[in-house]
Amino acid sequence: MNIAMHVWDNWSTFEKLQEGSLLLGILLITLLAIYFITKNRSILLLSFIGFSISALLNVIGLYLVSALFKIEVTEVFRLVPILTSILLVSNLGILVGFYIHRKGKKGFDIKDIRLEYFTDSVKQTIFLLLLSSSVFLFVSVQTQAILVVSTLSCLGAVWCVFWLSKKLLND
Amino acid sequence: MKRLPKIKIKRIDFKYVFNYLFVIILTSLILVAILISLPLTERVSSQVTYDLKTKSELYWAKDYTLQLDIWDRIDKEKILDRTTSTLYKRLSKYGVEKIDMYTFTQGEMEYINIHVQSSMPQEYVDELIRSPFIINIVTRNPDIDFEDPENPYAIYLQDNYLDTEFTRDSFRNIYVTKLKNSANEYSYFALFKTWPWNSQWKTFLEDYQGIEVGVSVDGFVTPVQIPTTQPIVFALPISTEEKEEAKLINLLYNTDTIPEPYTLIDEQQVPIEDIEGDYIKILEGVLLATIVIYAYLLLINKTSKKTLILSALSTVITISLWVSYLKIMSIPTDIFLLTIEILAMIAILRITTENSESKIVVNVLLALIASLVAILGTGYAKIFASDLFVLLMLGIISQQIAWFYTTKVKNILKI
Repeated sequence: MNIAMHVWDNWSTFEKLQEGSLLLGILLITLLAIYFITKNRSILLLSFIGFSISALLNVIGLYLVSALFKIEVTEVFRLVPILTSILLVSNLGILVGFYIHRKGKKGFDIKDIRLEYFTDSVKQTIFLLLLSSSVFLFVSVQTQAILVVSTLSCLGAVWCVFWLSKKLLND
Repeated sequence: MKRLPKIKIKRIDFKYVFNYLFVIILTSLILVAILISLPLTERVSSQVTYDLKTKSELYWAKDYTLQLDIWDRIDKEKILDRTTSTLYKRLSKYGVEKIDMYTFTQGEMEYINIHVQSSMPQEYVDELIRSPFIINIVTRNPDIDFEDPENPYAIYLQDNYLDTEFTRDSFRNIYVTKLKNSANEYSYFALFKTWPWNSQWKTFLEDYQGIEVGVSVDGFVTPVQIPTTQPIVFALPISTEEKEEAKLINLLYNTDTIPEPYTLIDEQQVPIEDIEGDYIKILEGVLLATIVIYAYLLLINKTSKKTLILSALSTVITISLWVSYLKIMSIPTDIFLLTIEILAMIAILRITTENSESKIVVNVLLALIASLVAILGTGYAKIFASDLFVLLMLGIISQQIAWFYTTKVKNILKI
């Protein structure tokens, strides 16, 4: 809560507007592009949920970094939502890619897409965890925090999206 | 007499030879890029320096305190907010990496504390903060003797002039450009441009044709003779020949306005927040991580060897070219940002190589996000997004090179 209060009290209107429009812009531009590519409302909804969960996890992550690990959350942490969005978009892109590739084909089954999405999400999870942990020892504490919060927020959102896709993605 | 045996020459397969040569050249180029990008390879050659220029040695940090005498104003909060917004805009547009501000009250005075960390020239950042750059167009006060030899500075003080209705907000844009001066040499001028429907300014210029008026910047007046020629151009000479300084003045003229004057009462050097780390260790770490991960992926055998080779080769080419470019062009680099960029690219290239169906979608979405952040972002986010955009393009090219290279090598070696 103190991070939100700190931002609210100390940031100028311009800063708040700029950061807000930037994050909202990322969300809108991604959702619009996904909708125009797939024309599927369920995938749009899943993507929106994915972004919302990652944003929530970002806030929780930054709070924990500041409260538990006593790392000062400064300007560099503005990279966290951007890095999270980039990692999340590359995952959502897999789902969108599979969907548009298979959509018009004979024997189209959404279960196959979910299965492929699952396989690739597992691979991405292992890859990201290995990648982040292997450079962990070589970077500064702030960079470690940025990488950990971004990676975990992205992975949290990815698995929530997968779990929800069981309910939301139907033929 | 014995006849010499006939030498039979087979038809040369030029395509094969050219492919062979091409693969050799490509291999050499990739190896050169890898060698240049690796840490400490600058020691290989004494003629060319390949050292990565880090921003660590360029960084400085300072705390500034501004005082505002606005105790009697009811719109105090608004004034403080507009002042901090304008200062933030000016500093971020100039490229200052880290800006933190907060306001506080002490006695009857309002204060703004600004913490800045940057690799940009300190004197220019000082100037951006020190000067509110409040502009007023003024006319000469007939009661003041501007020719008085005992008061040679009379001409420069705003108190000796009469205010007009024109301030910075009356102008659409103040265009800083080089024009020919009276000595027929090029120097910088600020051209004041109004909205086409603003007739008051036009009338003012016509009324004062041939007469000297003044432009007051923070109470210091620069006299300007309004020309008698048509169309009347209001051009204020700028006392600099430096391009960088002209850029700074352009920024001060055209980035919003500070509502009330303030005074810089304190400025202090403070320790920098060092998050950079040792670049040799970091690059070695990234290299080690990439090798270990790909070895692990090869071992668990969940992805085809072809995909893994393509993905690893694309990653190596992209990162080597990027780091080589930074080294050769001597571009000051934030090591922690480079690490994050490289890690993001490793992850992206892995996904786009393995999922050819999603390649275009992922690249388009990421390019859109990177462009948006590069336009709307500030500080580190802006630098990161701009670099990421270039890296995405480089990644696409590298994937093509990697695919082409592996196919050619396969054909030559007949694997």
